Amino acid sequence: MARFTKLEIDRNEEHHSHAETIAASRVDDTTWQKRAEESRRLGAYEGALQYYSRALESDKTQVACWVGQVQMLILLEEYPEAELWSRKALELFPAEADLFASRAQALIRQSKTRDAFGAIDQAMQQPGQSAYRWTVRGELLLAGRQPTDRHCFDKALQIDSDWLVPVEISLIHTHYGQPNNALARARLAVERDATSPYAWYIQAACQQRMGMAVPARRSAQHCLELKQDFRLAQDLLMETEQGGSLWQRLRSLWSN
Amino acid sequence: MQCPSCQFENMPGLTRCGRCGGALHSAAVQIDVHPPRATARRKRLRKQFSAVPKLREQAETLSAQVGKTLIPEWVVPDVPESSILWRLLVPGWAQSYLGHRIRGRIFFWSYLACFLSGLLMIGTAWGTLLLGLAVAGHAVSVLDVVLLETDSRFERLGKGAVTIAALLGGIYVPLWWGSLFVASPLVIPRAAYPFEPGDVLLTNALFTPRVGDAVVYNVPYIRFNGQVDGRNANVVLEGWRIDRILAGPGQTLAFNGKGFTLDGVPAPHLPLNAGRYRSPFALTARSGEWIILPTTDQYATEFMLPELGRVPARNVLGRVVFQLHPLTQFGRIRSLP
Repeated sequence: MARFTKLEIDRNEEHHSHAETIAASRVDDTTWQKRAEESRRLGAYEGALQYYSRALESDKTQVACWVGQVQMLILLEEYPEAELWSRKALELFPAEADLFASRAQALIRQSKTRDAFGAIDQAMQQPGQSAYRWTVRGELLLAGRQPTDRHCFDKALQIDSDWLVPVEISLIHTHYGQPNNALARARLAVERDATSPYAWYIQAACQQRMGMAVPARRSAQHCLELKQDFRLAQDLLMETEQGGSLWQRLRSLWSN
Repeated sequence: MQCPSCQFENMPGLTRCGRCGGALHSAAVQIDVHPPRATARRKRLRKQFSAVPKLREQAETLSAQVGKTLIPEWVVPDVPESSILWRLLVPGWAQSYLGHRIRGRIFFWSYLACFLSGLLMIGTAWGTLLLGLAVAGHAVSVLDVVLLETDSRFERLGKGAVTIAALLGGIYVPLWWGSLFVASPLVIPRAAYPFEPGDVLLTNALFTPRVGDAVVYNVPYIRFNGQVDGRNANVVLEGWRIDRILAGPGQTLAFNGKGFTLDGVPAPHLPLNAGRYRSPFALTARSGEWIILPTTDQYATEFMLPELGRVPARNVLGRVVFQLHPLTQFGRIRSLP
């Protein structure tokens, strides 16, 4: 009879297997999120984005995954899409500081400075602390060529001791054409975790941009020792061995 | 509320399932979790034109500053941001930009319908009415964006006055003034065969007329004493006329009772009412003159032709390009046999 189908007595076996299935599905979204973080920490943004989406298919309430999606879109240089997605996420989670911060970052990458400052102010007004909102605030000040950006970045580093934070700050400096500052942050990332191949790769990329071919080669080789199939490092190593572009060769002559 | 994962019935108001811990309210709603993506081509284009957003922002900041400087604070205390301000130039665009697409489309299409219909019927009462409606619709679309619920009566009045002044002074009056040179409407006030009273023609004052063009020209005050239809008459002619230029400076136009000739060969162009004259005549245009026969003037006879037929170039007001009204005559000006 239909009205007894939901009773739990006399259905123990079914209940246990059903509970196992539920447990398995509950693990899945955590697993996807974990895989997304791993991909992110290897610089595989596209893969990380897909894993975040898979995690959200299982559980749409994972705010970190929504934030992760927006951050990956920004790192993949799809700024209008990132801004649109952050707005959508904010409709679902209207008081999430990191979502405001991600929106601010997407806006500043599109040179919409006024809206970006509005968004980051809303992020800072939310309770709690996170390194990301300080990182984005630093980026806004950096984009406006204000000298206080360093303070914001240092604050972010203070809040979170994860090596990924200085890597992302380094990427910001690279985006705004400050390879020397980018290299300093990349070195900090390597100091924080010398076993991370991605941190070594970022350092190698910054050194190459600075025209420091030999140190760049060493960093890339170290990255490959940690992870042999790290494609980005392989390409970078090949480039440094070939001498890089004409401009890079001229710069290396000048600096060496 | 039933959990979508384990179908357990939960108490209302819970956000997590009591049995499996799964999310309740968000799972019940269909939410797309896959973000939109840009194609590789679009990303390449964005990189190539990466300076455009920065320049646009600088332009918007500058225009916002200029807007605030030009419009006094006490008149319009809440100037919309520049991205909305310049979109007010097109009715409905600002509404669409702000997310009110249906309202924006209604404003845009109704404005376009009134404006285009008004242009087609320009010179007539309906044309005037429709153009006025179009301008009013534009003003309403601007006020729809600019007016706030918290505005006082005085502020609403101020914004309305500024809107009308800006639209008229910034768009429609300059448009009207420019159109006077390009395509000015001319309403025929009295019968002038082949035109009827109320016919609307479009004239152009920019381009130099040539032989064969139908033109509007001015006839200065001229008094004639002579025979009209076999009777003595004292005729005063003054005002503008419409007809075709038949010959230029140094050319001779002749009529032999059957047809027109230009310098001895059949004339390539005919006046608008070619059957007007019966008696032969010949006219030679001097330097700076056109030969234009006043065939549409019912009072002009052959004996007036030496005075009226030679028109100084300065008296030509413009080319008649088109007939707009009535719609049955819509098109280029044609000569009648």
